[in-house]
This record gives sequence, C-alpha cells and structure tokens, in this order.
Amino acid sequence: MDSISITGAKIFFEIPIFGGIPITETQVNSWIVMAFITILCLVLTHDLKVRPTSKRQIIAEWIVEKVTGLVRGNMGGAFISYAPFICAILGLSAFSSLSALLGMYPPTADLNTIAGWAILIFGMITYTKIKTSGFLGYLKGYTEPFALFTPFNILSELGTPVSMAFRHFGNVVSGVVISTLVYAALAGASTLLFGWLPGLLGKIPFLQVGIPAVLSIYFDLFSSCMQAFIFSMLTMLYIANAASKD
Amino acid sequence: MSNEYLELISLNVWHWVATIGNLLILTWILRKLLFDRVKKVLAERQGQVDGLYQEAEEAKDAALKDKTEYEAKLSQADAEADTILKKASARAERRSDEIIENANRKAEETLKKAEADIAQEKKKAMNDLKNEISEISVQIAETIVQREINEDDHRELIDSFIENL
Amino acid sequence: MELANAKAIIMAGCAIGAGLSLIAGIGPGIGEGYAVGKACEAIGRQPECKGSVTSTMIMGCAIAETTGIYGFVMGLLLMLLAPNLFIGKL
Repeated sequence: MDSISITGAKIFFEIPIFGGIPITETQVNSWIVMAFITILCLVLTHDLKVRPTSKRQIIAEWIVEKVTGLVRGNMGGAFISYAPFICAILGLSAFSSLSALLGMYPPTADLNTIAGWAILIFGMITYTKIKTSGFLGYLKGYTEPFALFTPFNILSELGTPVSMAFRHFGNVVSGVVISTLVYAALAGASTLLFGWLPGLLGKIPFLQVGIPAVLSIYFDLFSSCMQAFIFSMLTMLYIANAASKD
Repeated sequence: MSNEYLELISLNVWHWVATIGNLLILTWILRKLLFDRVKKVLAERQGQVDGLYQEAEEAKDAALKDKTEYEAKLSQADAEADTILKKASARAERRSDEIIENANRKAEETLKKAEADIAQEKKKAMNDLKNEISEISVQIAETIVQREINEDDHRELIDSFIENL
Repeated sequence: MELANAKAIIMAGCAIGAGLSLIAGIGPGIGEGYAVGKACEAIGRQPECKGSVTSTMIMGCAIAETTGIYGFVMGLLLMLLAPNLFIGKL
C-alpha cells in the first residue's frame, strides 16, 4: 500500500509579521467561497421587479423569507436584525463543507475556522446576557440553584462553544479522513486486482471510480447541510435563551 | 511554494481573527446585496397591495354612503309629499272657513242693518204717529173745549201725555 | 536502546488509547436507535405527520451524535498528532 498522510491544510506562504502568520489553503479556500457567495448574491438580485418574472428573483425572495421566518420564529421579533448574520453563517458553513465535493480542502476541516466562529458566538451570547440582566445579574446567574453549583455552571458555560465547534469540526474532518482512507484502500485494492495488466493500464486505479461517490453523498452533501443548519439553529437558540433570562 | 502541512488540529490565534473578520465582512455583504434589495422589493409589493386594498375599501365606503344618502332622500321625498298634501288641504280648509266666515259676517251685517232700518222706521213711524196724535188731540181738544186753547200752556200737558204713550 | 523502548512504549500507548477512545461510539448508537424507534412508533400512530417527525428526529440525532464525535476526534488526535508531540518532548 502506498504511504498516505493525513494532515492539515497546506501552507502557502508566511507573512513575516508578528512572528509569521501562515497563509494556508484554508484561508485561500475561505476567500474563494466568499467570492462565490458574493457573485451568487449579485446574480440573484440583478434585476428585481415588483411583479417577479424571473426564477432568480423567486429564489432570492425564498431565501430571504425562509431565513427571516427562522429568525423570527426562534428569536422573536426583537432580533430581526440578526438575519443577515445567520444567513452568513449558514452560507459559509454549507458552501465551505460542500467545496469538498470539488476536490478542494474544505475550510471547515480546519479547527481554527470553526473555533473563530464559536468564539464570536460565545462573545455574542455573553454580551446578550450582560445586556439583559446587567453585569451583576450575569455573575449571579452562575450561582443559580444554589452556590455550590457554580463550578458546574462555569463548566457548562465554557462547554457551549467547545461542543458547538467540535460537533461541526468532527463531522467534517471525519468525512475528509474517511474519504482519504477509502481512496488509499481502493488504490491498493485495484493495484492488487488489476496489477497484472500490461503497461499503463496496470497503474490506473479502476476501483476508485464511483465507490467514493456513494460515500460522499452522506459525508459531503448530507452532513454539510445538516451541520450548517444545526450550527445556526443552536446559535439562534442560545442567543434567544440568553435574552429571555427574566 | 513551501510544501509544509499544518497538523490536523492546530491552534493559531491569527486564524481566529481572520475568520471572524471574514464572517463579519460576509454579513455586511449579504445585508447590502441580498437582504436590503429583496426587502425593498417586498415592501414595494406590500405597499401596492395595501394601496389596492385601500382603494377597494374607499370605493366600498363611498358606495355605502351614496346608498344611505339615496335612501334618506327617498324617505324624505315621501315626507315632503305628505307635507305638501297636508299644506294644500289645510289651505283649502282655511279658504273654505274664510269664505264661510265672510258669508256669515255679511249675513249678520245685513241683518243688523235691516234691524237698524226697522228700528229707524219704527221711530219715524212713532214720530209721525206722535205728531199726528198731537194734532188730532189738539183738534179734539179744540172741538171739545170749544174755546181757543192756549197752545203754550197746554203744550206741556200734551207733551207729558205723549211721553207717557 | 532506551530511547527505542521509550518510543515504542509511547507509540503503543497512543495506539491503545486510540482504540479505547472509540468505545464512546456505543452511546450514540443506543440512544439514536431508541430515538428512531420512538419516531417510528409516532409515525405509526399518526401517519400524516411523517415529514415533521422525520426532520425533528434527524436534527435530534445530529445533536446526540456529539459525544460520539468527541471520541472519534480524540482517536484521530492520538493516532496522528500525539506520537510526534510526545516524542518531541522526550
């Protein structure tokens, strides 16, 4: 069997400030996904009329109405300005994970991407809690049933972003790792089975055609959409919970 | 191009900052490009629909108002016809009353005048009778007494006698 | 020789740890199987709410899968990251 290496993202170059910031495949792929989403938006909202005649406008209106409906249903009418943020999380997460279908290294397979989002959302939840019940009320919320519960409350509070991040990261990384392993195994199996064919034909890995596609239906398509949706739903639920403390 | 690889799980603070920046930039892009534009079109459509509803409501209100006005006018017309009728019959009654009154008054006047005439005639007749009686009495007295009467002396006696007639 | 023994022990420990960490897969398996059974019962009782029950069940399963994913990620870490880390500290 050939030697396979399961590693993280490829580093492209390093910016020599602050002791070297590596620009990796993750960053480049993130920018590519963002550019793709921007172009998609421009195409969808190109020529809006009051009476829609083109399918693009119907798709754009459907997206906006669905996201606004989700936000209003889960967070109430007071947070309707968070709708573009939730749409951004949904879009980035789904399209980043779906870029694994095109052979690129998905940006969400890097823990730093998801850790960044989780830290931002944790900051938003804390800010909402402090805005609702004041700083002292926020601190008192840690001693909620009785004072001995404080360590558990702190642990559960810190566990919120960690669990959100690991759920998303674990699902995507497992897809990447299993795909790599399956490719390598199939390459080895096809060398074993078809290695006696003469010349170039013996080196083409026949078994690599088609079988990984079946696996990638679950790992890439289904898992990406589910995890993106669950990430955004949990964001909405946590923020709504923080805003309704009293 | 260096061919190093990151580890599978590595932590790097600048990546977090860059990722948060990416997410916020994408939020801003989505709001400007997608949400604001689509919301504008939806609001416009809602405004048109509201305008249509408003027009329909106003037309309905105007039609209702016209209907009540016509009904009021209709009932008013009935009342007017009634009053006209009443006025005319009242006037006719008054006229007939007036005429009857006039006739009555005239009859009374004629009656009064006739009575006054009769009283005057009676007086005249009485005066004539008085004169005649006085003449006759004088003649009788002349003949009875056969002497010449002093008219002046016995005038008072005769007058008082006639007065007592 | 000492170093080779130490390295062997480290690698062995990592490998055994990775295998043991995947025992965490039992939990989600039992839990999600139970949840799917309850969902099938609900659909059997009221067949017209099939779409709603199915999507709720899938969302719940994806959240309950978290602890299983924790185990898998720890296994990956131990297999791929830990040997270099621990041997580098030797």
